[in-house]
Amino acid sequence: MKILSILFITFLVVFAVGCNEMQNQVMKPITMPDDEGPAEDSTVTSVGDMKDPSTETAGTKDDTPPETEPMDDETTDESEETMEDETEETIVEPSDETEETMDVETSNEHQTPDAAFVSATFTDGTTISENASITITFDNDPGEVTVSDGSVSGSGTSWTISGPFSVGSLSLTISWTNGSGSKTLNYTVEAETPDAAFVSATYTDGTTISENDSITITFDNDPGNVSASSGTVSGSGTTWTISGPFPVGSLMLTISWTNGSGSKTLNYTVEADTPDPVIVEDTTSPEVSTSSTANGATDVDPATVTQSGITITFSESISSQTLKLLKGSTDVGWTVTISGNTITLTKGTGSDLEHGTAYTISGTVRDGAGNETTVSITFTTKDAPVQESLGRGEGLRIGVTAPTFSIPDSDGNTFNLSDSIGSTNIVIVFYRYRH
Amino acid sequence: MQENYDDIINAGGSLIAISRDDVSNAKGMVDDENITFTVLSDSGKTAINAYNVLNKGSDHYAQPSAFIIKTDGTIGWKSIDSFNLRTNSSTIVSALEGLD
Repeated sequence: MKILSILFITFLVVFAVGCNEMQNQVMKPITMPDDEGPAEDSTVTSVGDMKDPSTETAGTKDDTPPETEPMDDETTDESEETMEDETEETIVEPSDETEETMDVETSNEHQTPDAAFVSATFTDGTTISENASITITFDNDPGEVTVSDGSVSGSGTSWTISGPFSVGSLSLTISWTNGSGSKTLNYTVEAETPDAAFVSATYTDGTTISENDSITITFDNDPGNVSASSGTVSGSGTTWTISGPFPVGSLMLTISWTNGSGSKTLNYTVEADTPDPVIVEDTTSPEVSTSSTANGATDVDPATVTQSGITITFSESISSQTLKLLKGSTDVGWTVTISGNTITLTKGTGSDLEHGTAYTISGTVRDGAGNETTVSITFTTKDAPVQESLGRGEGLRIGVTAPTFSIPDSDGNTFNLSDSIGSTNIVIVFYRYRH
Repeated sequence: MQENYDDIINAGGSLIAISRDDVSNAKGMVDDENITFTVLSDSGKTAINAYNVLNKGSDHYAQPSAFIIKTDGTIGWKSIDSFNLRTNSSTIVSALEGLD
């Protein structure tokens, strides 16, 4: 009996070992082929191992498969109690662990294929703004994506890399986990100009400007390209000029700029420019056009000229003169006045013209520009009207023009007969002198 | 002539007396006779020659004579006299009154 008991125990031991090896043979294919962790983590726990529940509680991933359950039927009474205890414990926990094991097996069967870079919205070698966003596309889910500059977000096959990027030359390296891939894109990053806003104009809204004025516009930042609805635009930086000509009348001037896509409308009243006066240098001297007593005239009635005076017309306005009426070299004292391009000589307080006498109007005249002309007009009065039929001392015929004369009165003042003719009838009495 | 000067004025005339006296002699006569009309000194014979009244026998004297110059500047009346017979004032007034 004792021998039989030993043999039976030995049989049980051998049987148990055999079962354990069978289990190892069955679970080996479950081992993760790739980066799912070390092989031992996937190894199914042996029955021997199950005897130590503490080991299982410690976190062994793989454990006793369901095939171990029939062992209960083959357990002897003696060992049944022990085995049941162990088995019960083994059954409770490994059931969860079995599910975990199955999950792993499932994920291995549907593993995501390696991802490869397909495209980027900004191609390699181009210029981008410091705040640009680059959308990149993969052929498969890339897993975790990292970039060397900027920030990355996205899912699936479409990911976005957003700025700000470092201004200058940029080598942007994109890395992803699925397939351990990477891609480097080279860009030139330009600083982004802030939006510009209108600040001021030299001619404020609602004012009046001249058609050829220039309006200087100031922005708070570089406006980029500037355009205007009228005039010509020039400038750089924050100061720009809109130059006329502008259309005369009411003007609604709209100024637009690209940085910030801004615009500003200014209303003006545009007035026509008064052309600057054209200054023409005057180098022409005045010339005598006409004279009521012509140069070289003879037989001039002295009474008529004494009464009416002498009028000289010039080719242009006269501003100054030095003219005198001379009898020989003696100034007869006539008055000279200027009116525009006319000079008039009148007897004034001077002497009457006499018969049979040569007179000369002599002097200079100047125009407004200072051009000077020398004037010399000579004429001769007719002889005294001696009637052939009347002898010496017989006087003049009735009806002839009375000769005029200028001789002193008893106080020594010059008396001009012409001054008296016309107002009253004049009685002239000649008498013999007293002494 | 002075005593009838007002008559001449009243007849619409003015009176001028001319001789070859120099200014001082003309002044002396005006003062001596209290003359109020115009007395001229024609020592240069300007007016005397112009009116052709130089004495026939002497270049030093004016022939006594009288002229009326109308307002239109023409001779309207004349009287050539002698040293012994001169035109009186009433004749002159009549001539003034008889002008056209």
